[in-house]
Amino acid sequence: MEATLSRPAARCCCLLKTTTTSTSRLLPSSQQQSRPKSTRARHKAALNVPPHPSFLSNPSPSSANGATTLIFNPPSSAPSVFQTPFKFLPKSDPRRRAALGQKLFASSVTTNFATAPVDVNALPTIFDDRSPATTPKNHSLTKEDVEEMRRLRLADPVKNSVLNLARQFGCSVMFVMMCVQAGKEHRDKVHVEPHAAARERWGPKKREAKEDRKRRMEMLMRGEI
Amino acid sequence: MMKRLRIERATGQLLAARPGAASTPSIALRAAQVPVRHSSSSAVEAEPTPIYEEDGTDHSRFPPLEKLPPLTSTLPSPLPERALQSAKLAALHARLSLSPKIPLQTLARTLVDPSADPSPQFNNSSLAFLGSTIINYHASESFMVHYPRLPMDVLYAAMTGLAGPAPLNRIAKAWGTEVAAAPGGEVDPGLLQFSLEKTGESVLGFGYTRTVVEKINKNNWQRSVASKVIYDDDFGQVITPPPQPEEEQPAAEEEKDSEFSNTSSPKFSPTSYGSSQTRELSEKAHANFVRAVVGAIYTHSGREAAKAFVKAHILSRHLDLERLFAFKHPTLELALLCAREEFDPPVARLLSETGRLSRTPVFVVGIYSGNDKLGEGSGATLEHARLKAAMHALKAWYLYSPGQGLRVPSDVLDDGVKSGKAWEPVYVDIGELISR
Repeated sequence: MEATLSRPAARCCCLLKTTTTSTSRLLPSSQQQSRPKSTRARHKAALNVPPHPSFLSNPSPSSANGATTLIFNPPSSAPSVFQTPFKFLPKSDPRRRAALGQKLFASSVTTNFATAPVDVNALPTIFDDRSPATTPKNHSLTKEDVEEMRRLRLADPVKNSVLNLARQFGCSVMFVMMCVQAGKEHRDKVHVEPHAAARERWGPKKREAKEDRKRRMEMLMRGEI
Repeated sequence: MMKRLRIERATGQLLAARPGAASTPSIALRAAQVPVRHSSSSAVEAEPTPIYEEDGTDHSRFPPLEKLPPLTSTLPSPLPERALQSAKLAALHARLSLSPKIPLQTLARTLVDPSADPSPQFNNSSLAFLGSTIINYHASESFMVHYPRLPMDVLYAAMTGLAGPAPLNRIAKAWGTEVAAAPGGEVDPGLLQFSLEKTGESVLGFGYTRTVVEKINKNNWQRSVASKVIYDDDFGQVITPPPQPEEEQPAAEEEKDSEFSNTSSPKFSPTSYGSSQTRELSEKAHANFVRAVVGAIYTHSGREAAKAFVKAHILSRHLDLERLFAFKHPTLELALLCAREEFDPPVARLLSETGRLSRTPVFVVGIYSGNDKLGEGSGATLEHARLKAAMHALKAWYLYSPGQGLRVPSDVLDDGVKSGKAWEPVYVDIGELISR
């Protein structure tokens, strides 16, 4: 209730309701040309945005004495790659010792906007299935296991897909692909032919969109977008 | 601010320049190198008729700008003693603030490309070779100290961007180097002389010619970084051997020459913009001129002056190292990095997002190793943002710098001897993440 009342538009509507009757709201056309004083004042008040707190945090007692004050309030931007994260500093780097001494990087979540440390584990993760941190790793596979994996994959590559084998043996997808590769016929049958058939049905718009998407990915990898 | 022209200084140079500094050729010696086309017919014709000079120019219609010694236009490049009369050369000398120790004859020699004068006694090939070693040494030294983790491919790209032919070409243009329309003995010695019709032979850099160089150039074969280090030049480029002269070359050339003298129309018109090949030749000639100037400074003024010149003109240029990177599998590379350095495996976390269901969403993704944020990226899809964050983390790793303005090894030679300050070893990285 308070929130609605604090909005100037709502307050204005309340005032209208209390002060005017429903019939008097239909004004003649000559009076609709000019904006009522109440509306203009309301708009002016809405546009009167207070300055950012960083401008007000330092009331600059020095400026009263005639000295100049520096206000540093840069717009938000992507972080620079030349700011090396604490973890990437070598052991011999003096910045590491200085940071450890001052405990500047205690949580290491020192973004420009966040002053309070963020609980990292509370942040949602994305692409968990592809992350090396969350994929299960079975580092105790024996030679027999690998041979069994090869046999299964070559016997029925459709049923024993890479993902299925990785789940079955508890290793990463990459490891399965390192151990065994299905033949060229299977690759063509699964990856090339269906796509080629689908590509035939594409119209000019879809083709262009797909090409754009590919080009965008190449630009992304070169750091251009 | 433009500097005042120091005429008295220039005349001082003219006086100080030793005529014997550059070897003065005898006309007879140089006449032996004159191409075939000038040997018999036209020269014989030139003797009885004073109107036609030995090059076939009608001097009554086109009077020479200055009084030239006889048979000057038969020479491939201007005589060294003419350097003292060239206003352009003195102006270039003054504009570059070169030391008076460097004679104008040497500066004139730096402007003669091997394609203009094949004789190594008169062209700039030796000075350019010396200069290229000095420039490349200082550039690579600076990169090694300031960015010790740069991968070799990126280091090659950075070397090309700072000291390769393209930036040196721009430097030469910025110096106000003017180009002669065609090389010859009669041109002003203050003009850069190179031929657009043939490539000069000169050794410029260390390296080996690979046995499969034709196949590499034809099929665009991939070369490993290790083989680039061993075989290729300072910029990781394949060294292509000069084309072998064929048997029927002289006959064809004579035909061409007779045609040339009859119609007097060169293959490449000097007024046209040229082709990509001529632009490449021009770029090469300009770059070799800059290298030769550095070589000349080293020869006459010593190591410190050459280093100061390289620092002022070449190393001071801005190069955006961040733009030199291109990745294939950034997330995989980052995972390998974390495994090698025994960090926690990287995890992508969503920092903030806006407009997920709109047409233009923005996701900000951070990559964390344990509690430490390694990189951050924003993109229109989760996948793009994650890839950008991974690339940001990798660039932050590769572009680690111990600090700017550090001492480089050659500084020990300059001030270490005088001040007695010992060399402190710099940080050396253990090696590349992915061997390519």
